[in-house]
Amino acid sequence: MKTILTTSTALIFSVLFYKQALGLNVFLFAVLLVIFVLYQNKNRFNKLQILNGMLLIIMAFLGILYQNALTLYAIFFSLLLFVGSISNVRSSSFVMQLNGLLSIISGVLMHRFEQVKMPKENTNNNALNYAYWFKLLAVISVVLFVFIMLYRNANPIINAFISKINFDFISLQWLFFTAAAYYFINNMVYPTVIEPLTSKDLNASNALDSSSNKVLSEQKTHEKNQMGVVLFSLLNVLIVFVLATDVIFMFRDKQLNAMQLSEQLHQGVNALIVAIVSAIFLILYFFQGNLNFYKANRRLKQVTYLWIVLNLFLAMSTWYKNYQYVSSFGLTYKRIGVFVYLILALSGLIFTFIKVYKIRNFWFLMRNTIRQAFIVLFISALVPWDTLITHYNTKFITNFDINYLLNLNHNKAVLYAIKDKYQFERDTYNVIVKNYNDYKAEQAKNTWQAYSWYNVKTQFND
Amino acid sequence: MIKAISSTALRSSLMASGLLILIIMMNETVGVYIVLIAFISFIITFFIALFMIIATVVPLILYGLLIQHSTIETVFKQFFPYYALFSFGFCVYLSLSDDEAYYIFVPAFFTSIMAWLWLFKSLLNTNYENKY
Repeated sequence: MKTILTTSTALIFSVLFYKQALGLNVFLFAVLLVIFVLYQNKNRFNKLQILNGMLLIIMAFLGILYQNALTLYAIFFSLLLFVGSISNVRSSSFVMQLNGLLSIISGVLMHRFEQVKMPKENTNNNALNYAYWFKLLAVISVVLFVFIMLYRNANPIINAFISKINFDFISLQWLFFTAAAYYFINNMVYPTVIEPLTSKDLNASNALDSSSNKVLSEQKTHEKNQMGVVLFSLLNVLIVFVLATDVIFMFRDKQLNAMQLSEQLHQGVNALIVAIVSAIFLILYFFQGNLNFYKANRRLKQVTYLWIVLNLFLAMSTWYKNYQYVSSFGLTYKRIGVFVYLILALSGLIFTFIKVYKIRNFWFLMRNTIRQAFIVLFISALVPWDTLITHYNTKFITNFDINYLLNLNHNKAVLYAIKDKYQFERDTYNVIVKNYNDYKAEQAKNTWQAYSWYNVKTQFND
Repeated sequence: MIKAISSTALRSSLMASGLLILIIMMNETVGVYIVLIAFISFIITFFIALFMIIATVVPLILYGLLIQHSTIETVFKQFFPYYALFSFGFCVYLSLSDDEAYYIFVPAFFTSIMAWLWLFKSLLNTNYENKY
């Protein structure tokens, strides 16, 4: 039964995806896959698996709407999360993703290896009786074929219907494609985990346990504490100086051109990347082990909290600079990327603060920061960025960069709708019209498997 | 161990050259020269498979058995997941970097993970860990 269901799913995958673009097929297959995998693993049933399955289906639905790289990444990671939750539902998100990827690429092999250790009498009972199945399928196929030929000759409607059936698509490429699909889908039926990572993750709580740490002598703890206080105090002085120069520069009454703003921003973001990552690692170095429980660590904690807060201010000043850049010169993917990075940096700093304040361990930090990254990925996949950038730039920016907008992939219809609203040069106007016509022609070629939102709208309008 | 390695290398080269020929036949028009290509690719992939097993798999087995004093089963469960993930990432990245690179890296990925199963099955059958 399992083999028949897996084979059917692989054949459906081939019908949906072989030599097709991505669109409706992703959504349909996601629904089928979720039902198939949940059914095959019904003995491990859990509500969280359904939630992860729903997330995969939602992300796959976005494939009809947006069809961009970000959506593909979101679909991929939500698939890993779903399959990983079948392997072990209580793992952290990053362990679930790794388990999901391992299951998809080698679930069957791991299962086969387990079976090697089983006594032979058990495996023989489950072995497929190939001779019986071959005889059964051969006899049924021959009898069906004979009767189809008879009915075809007897009934012209049946004859016309059967004449339309075309097996030209079956080629070596199609067979290889279907076999590869069978392999990966079959792997999902045998979820597996990475050991001992999964066990460590399940057994590791978020709290730092004083008894399990390597104990430093009182003297060494005191020295480390002292070093930390001095280091973080000096770093705080340095960052205050940097912030002061930033604030003075920001409020100077001077219009900056795009190049100056760009230079300032890129320098700021590069420095911030290094500073925040270094800050977190420094804090992790000092706040490991029994320094967390050292009675005289109050001063160290104070300077650390101050260091975190000052880094937050630094992130916010960079946010403001990026906002100025966007207000003056419009949105681009890089500028949106800076905002996304700053959100992740802010959440990393907040979790580091909680780690020190509530005496949490490294697992706590890793689990939460990686989970935040995935949440940001899934939320940002919901947004039609090309359309948003085009609308924002054309509405709010006086001299927007039309060449940048022309290079975006999924805003042809938006540009076409506003082409008469602005005084574009003749060449630019022609390019906008041509791009839109090319886009319409390309979408019109889509078969039902690759239907996008444009195709759906066109169907309703027709 | 030598017998297990050589039989695994043989099976791997059969699989790798088989997949390579299949991919070539899917994309190119081939004539009778396919037999010659199959023979040559079999020899080349045998040596490549032998080298890869000795260079990448055997050190992990020896580390697990001699240093960690683990069983064959534990060594497989400990190292195979990371090997499979790395192999998959490496082969996908290189396949995407060039239009025709997948001719090499798709067979390489499937062969590398199957080689683990064959090698460890052989070692389990010969009760290898008890010699250490």
